[in-house]
Amino acid sequence: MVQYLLNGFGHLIQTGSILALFIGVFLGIIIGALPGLTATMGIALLIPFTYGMDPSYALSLMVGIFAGGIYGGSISAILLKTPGTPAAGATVLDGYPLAQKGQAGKAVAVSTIASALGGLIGALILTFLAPQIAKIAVLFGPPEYVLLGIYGLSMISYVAGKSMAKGIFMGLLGILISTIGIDPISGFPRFTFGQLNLLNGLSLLPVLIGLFAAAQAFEGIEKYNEPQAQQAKINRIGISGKEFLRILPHIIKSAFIGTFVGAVPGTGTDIAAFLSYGEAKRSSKNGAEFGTGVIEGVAAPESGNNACVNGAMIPMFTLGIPGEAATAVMLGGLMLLGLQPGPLLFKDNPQVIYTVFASTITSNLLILVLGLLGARFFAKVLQLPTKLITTMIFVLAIIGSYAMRNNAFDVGVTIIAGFLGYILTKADYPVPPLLLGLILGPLVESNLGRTVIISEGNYFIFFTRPLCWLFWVLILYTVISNITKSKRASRQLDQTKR
Amino acid sequence: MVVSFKVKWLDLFLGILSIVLLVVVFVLSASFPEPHEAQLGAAVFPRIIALVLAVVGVYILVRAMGKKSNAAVDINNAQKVLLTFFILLLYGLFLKKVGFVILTPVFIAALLFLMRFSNVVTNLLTSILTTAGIYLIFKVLLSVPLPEGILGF
Repeated sequence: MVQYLLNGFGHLIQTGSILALFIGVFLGIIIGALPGLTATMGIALLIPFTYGMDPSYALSLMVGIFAGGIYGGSISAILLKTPGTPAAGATVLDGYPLAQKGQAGKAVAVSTIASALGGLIGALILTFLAPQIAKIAVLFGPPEYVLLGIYGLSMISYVAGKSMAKGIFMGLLGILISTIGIDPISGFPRFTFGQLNLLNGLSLLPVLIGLFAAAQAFEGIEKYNEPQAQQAKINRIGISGKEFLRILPHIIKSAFIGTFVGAVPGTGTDIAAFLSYGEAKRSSKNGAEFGTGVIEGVAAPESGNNACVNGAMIPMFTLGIPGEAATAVMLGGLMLLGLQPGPLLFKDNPQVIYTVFASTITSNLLILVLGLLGARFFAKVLQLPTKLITTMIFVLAIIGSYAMRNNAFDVGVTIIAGFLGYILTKADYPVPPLLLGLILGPLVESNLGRTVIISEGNYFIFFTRPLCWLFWVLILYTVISNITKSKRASRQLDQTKR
Repeated sequence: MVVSFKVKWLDLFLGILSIVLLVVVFVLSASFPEPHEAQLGAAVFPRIIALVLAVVGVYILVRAMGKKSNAAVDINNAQKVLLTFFILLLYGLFLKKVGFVILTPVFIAALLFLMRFSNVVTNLLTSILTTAGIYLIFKVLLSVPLPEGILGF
């Protein structure tokens, strides 16, 4: 396997994918740093232009944008008190107070080092764990995939936001939409209303671009007359050796938390960051000072969220199940590149997959270099007028959805999905579950069809296979823990209201 | 202008929509071909999902009507948001016919004026320069197909 990984590094340099990775990280940091632009949006906007590229090149770009974007969010969290991405929400808590004390440079340095180290640990776990999981996943048959898909869908309650019912509604709506087009087993066209454009279903990419890019831009229009936030000044960038030793244990612990959270389907970088922050606050000697500007409070969430980036790729590559929203979008990109995610990817395309692993490891080095040397430049980028950025997102969204198939229908889908996504999000109907349903729906249905064929119509097969039982336990655990969790949350809400 | 609507009206709408979808799915799937023996058939999965969706939809509907929920969603600058939506639709609709090079500066300028970006000269200059920039990066550098339209490039 080390041999494969070394080949991956060789391939990364040979094909020039390392350049793509550099561009990806660079763009990712900018996208992440700009409030309102997320890594997910960056990848969604990028995918149409990767069409026809060499897969390792395209994937290196995506990995770069994802990792860079999650790191970049911390820059605006520290300097503007606005997280550039939801993943940097926890970084604001101590990052901004540090900046107010005139230590913005130190905060940026801590965030950069923590992101790079946390990401590196996550990338190493990904590299060495994913092939092992793939080996187990080869044993999965159609019934296991049905349950795996249902397990992924049961995580909707985690990403659902305020109302679980609304999250489940959106997830089911996504599955229902995914049944438009040719039925995977019998080949009969369903719900197409004679529209040729719908024969292969509502294409994923225009919907994605609409939901994750155009919807955000509508938000930008709504807030066009809000003044741009004042920026804290960056002084000397760097930390002392003593400070590094202080944050190191938190970085390592958060990296493991983040990777684990990422590997669980459905949970995302923001949850990883807040969990890491909470754990650091609980276990730290100066826990009471958290929130007033301590460096541990920046290091922990930043290590956690960048580790989560890599953790989220574990289920994506090995099982074809997205770990969170950005990987769900990446999954769409993988399929467009003609790569079917899943255990067979490791057998059929080891070169591509190990090049990606080499990319994830290298991306952290690039974050370190770009972050420490380029922080002042990225701070300048934050002063770009948001009105111009909003306009550019619209233009990129439109030409992106057009470029895929030179098709005006797709452009219409993007615009309408964007507007609906914007309205629904405002009313607490979360959009990520819809995406989860769109991606997992076909997986569940086609494997259900295969299960019925191999079992000759006997549904009892779901209870006779030992691996199936593993998933039943996982699903049951998820559902029960979510119900109790939401009950506790609503009780707390009632108490705060009184 | 601020437009605000009560969340419960959206809940009501989506609840009814889920019932409509249920009916549509069952009516349309009635004409799907019968599956062979021991096959799932094209109709089963959509029917199950539509059924569960309707159950959740009705639950949301009942819950929204039951409590005196006054949660509202405010859309600031609503006329600008709506106007943007229509400008986007026009842009998307005519992009292929008219072409990227002509329509994009018009689109960018329209949004910049809508958001009161700057004075007339700056707005127009910005829209032309950004269009040129996108054209250079995507068409020339990355050879992404951009709609050519009437100009032919």
